[in-house]
Amino acid sequence: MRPQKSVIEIDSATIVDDQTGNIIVSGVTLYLNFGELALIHLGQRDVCSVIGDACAGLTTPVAGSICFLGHNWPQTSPDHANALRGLIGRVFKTANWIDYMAVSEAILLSQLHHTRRPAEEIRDEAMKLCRIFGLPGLPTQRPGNMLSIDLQKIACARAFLGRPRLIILEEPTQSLGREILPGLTKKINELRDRGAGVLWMTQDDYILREPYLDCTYRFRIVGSELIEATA
Amino acid sequence: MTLLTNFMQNLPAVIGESVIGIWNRLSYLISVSVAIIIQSLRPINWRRSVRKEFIRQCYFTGALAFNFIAVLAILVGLGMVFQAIFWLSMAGQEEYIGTFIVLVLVREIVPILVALILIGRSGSAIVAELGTMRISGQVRMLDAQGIDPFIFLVLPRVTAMALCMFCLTVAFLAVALGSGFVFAHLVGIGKLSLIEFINTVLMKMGPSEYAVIMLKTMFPGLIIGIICCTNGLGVTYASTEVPRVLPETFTQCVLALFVISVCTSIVL
Repeated sequence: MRPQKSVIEIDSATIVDDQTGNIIVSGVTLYLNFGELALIHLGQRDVCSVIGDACAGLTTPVAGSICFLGHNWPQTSPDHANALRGLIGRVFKTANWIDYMAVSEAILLSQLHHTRRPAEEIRDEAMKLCRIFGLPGLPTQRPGNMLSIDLQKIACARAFLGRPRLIILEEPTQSLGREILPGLTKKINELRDRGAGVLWMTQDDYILREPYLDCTYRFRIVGSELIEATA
Repeated sequence: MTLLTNFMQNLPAVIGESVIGIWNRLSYLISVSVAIIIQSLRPINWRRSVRKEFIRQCYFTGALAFNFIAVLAILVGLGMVFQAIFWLSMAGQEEYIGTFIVLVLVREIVPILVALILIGRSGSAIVAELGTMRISGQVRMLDAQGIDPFIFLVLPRVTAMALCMFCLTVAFLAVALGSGFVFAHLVGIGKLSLIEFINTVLMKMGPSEYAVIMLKTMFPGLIIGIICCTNGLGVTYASTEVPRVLPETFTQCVLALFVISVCTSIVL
């Protein structure tokens, strides 16, 4: 059996926006190994969700393949695919929270669903993560009663909860500003040390040029191509 | 003349389309029902997140509806059980009280009444809730976290609807019979003791009556839950679709309820 090296293997993939039918990137090849961080600058295009969905196996590339932990998404059974998605922490560009659930419940949902960890243990971890991202603790309000900036901070905490193998960051600094960077990079480095891969998508030139961000790869999307960029 | 000719030419196509539409909808409902039954039997689908959601749904559909159901049951008890006791006692035919109650209340009226209340109260809430969740991207967010919306949203809602419909029907019957009996005694026309009254009703309940209660509550509950969930999750473009889907769902649920009720009455 081939030793598994990559968290995610994007092999000559052409990713299309399933709503508009537009090609987002074509012929992309990217192997993100354990502990690596790939930074992708999207230019002026708001396409992070489409790429994030493709990496999480929610949409299928029209050409090529995307494998997560060695599993090709379209060939994976629905139950197994859901279990694999439970290993992906994702900061969505727009934080969507279930309206009828308190945020303190919603943040635990994925861990309660996919693991057998005691609820108290997950809650404690969530509380610590919320503090790292600048909140006083775990909010108990419903999402409708909270500021969107606080919800986005909790979304960051949710992405790092448990032991994710891949973190997909969809422009976290756009809504939270660069003030989030110290907490975010600290958690990213911790997770990378534990072997997780990180895929960070941004439209912010500052992030791409940031020399202290220890990126393994820096890319730019130009047209529909992914090209390597220098720091 | 041309209009009439066009109409006559198009008539078979219109009828055919309607029949195909109804058939497609029916086969879809049947396949989802089978999927729900199969998935609900798999223990792996009842993870703690789903169990929590099921309890929440039971609370909203069952516990919060109980007060209203109880008030309505008292009124039905006064209107029907008391009337039955009064008129049959006046005619000296108390032995038919049980037959009347079982035939009219247990077999026909109460299951339909409870189902109608739950369609209006919980069914519409499910449609609006799931429709809004779909539009606002909450369903996609669940998917992205590896939480199957069918297992997390549909399964607990449908099973809770079926269970609550059965429980509320039993509660409705108990309250209606109790209130009718108490009122008859308060007015001084009740000749039977409580034990005799319960015995009279239970003696008329055969296996088919128990089967009817189960079938007329659990099965419509399942179908109503599925119709509400699928129509709610079928909202794809804008929240303005929700007010359009709500009356459609109500019509489909009421139609399904009466079809199931009539078929069950004919068979059993």
